[in-house]
Amino acid sequence: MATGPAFDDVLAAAQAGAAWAFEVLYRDLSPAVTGYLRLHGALDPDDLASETFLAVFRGLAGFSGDEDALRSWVFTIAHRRLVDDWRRRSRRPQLAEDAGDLLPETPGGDVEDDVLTRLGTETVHRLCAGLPADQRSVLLLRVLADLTVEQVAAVMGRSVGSVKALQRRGLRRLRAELEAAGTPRTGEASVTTGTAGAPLVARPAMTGAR
Amino acid sequence: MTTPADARTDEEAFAACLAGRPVPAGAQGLAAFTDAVRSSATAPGRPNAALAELLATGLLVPTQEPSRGTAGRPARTSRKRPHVLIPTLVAKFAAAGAVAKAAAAGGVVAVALTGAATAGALPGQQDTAVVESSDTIDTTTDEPTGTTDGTGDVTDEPAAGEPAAEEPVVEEPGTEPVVEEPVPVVEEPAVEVPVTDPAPESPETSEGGKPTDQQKFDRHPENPGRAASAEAHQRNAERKAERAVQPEAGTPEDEGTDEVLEAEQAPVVEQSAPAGHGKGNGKNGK
Repeated sequence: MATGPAFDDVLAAAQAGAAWAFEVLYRDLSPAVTGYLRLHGALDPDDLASETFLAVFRGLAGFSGDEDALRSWVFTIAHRRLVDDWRRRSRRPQLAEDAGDLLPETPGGDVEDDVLTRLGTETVHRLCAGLPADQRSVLLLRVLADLTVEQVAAVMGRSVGSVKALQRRGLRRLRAELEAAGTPRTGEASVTTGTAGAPLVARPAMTGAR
Repeated sequence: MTTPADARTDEEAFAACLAGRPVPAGAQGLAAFTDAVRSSATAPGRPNAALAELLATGLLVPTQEPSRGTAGRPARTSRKRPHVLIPTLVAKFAAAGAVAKAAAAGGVVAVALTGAATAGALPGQQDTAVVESSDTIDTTTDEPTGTTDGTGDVTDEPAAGEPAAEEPVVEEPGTEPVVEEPVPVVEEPAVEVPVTDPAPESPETSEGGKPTDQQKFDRHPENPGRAASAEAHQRNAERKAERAVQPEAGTPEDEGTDEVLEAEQAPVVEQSAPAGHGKGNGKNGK
């Protein structure tokens, strides 16, 4: 965390309601939280992130712990808000914005170079959308929130073994997606996979699944 | 197809990506994915109005100090203040109608009289109570000499010179009908059997306090066996009179009378015999 050794002071000021401490915590945690919500396909990730931080700041007076504990707690609230958003959207279906976020069709070449050049923001969104919700949550919490397997298990309310299994299956699936994205190297026409044409909205498997 | 070795390689490559170490050669795509994910989450989100206000003004944390007005005072159970209660009642009484006022005054008087009577504050209440209690004690101490039982059958006889002692006995509601009824009944056997029982009342009743058979008999004038018993007594008296007139000469008439008496008494004996055998199991006669 960017707050560094001054974390205790920042936390004490935030627990006292100081605006500057809120600002410091928000600047430090908001990008990861917003990115986590956005890559999960939240309809309004900024609003969800705002609701998350409002809950964090209002409940901060009763928090006790170090910097890692605070990060884990913030992502726990964010994950619950996300699940609530999935459930709301399952009751009120949203229109899918099929913007044609597909992997760009490129001619053949070196796989690694192609992947590195192709993986833009939208491609990352599509790859994440191709993962089941639980596997996506595990991978994003490991990458974005920099949480350990145990912390991820606590955030998702699962066992450590279950989180490890979800991570293993998610990496396997991601590898398959990346290999499929590299298939043009062999001269085949298209790179689309079974899920390549899926819109970047929540799938039925994402709604309510933990 | 992914083998277990590939899965292990993926996990090692993923751990290397998270730790910032160089990844193996076959996991460049995973490293690229990780970097892309991190790079997509660098900009903070746009706060909504509530969060923007909170970030600008901070949060007012409530203090735990109690207010000066209520500090150190116990919680009041009633919301009404005590000094307001009496004027309120007076105002309500004044505003009430005439019937309501009369009813309220009557209720107050009734409550006051009841309370005074309970506390013994009414005039003359204690004196009468003491006199009555002493009278009852006197009657109970004087009665045993003249009465034969607790019913007061002989209360007319010892009507000595203590009118004060008889008054509480007459006042008792339970004893009045008992005293008045036996009076005519007692006179009848006294007239009919003067010869057989010359003194049926005096010695036995006065000594042991137990009622004689005649007195027990007189208590129930409605008893249907009373007439039969009176006839039997009369016959017995006539027989005794005949014996007294005829001095011990064995006439056939006497035998006849004896047989008659035995015949009369025989059923009594026969009745008592089966009663005695009936107590057993029926094998006594065998």
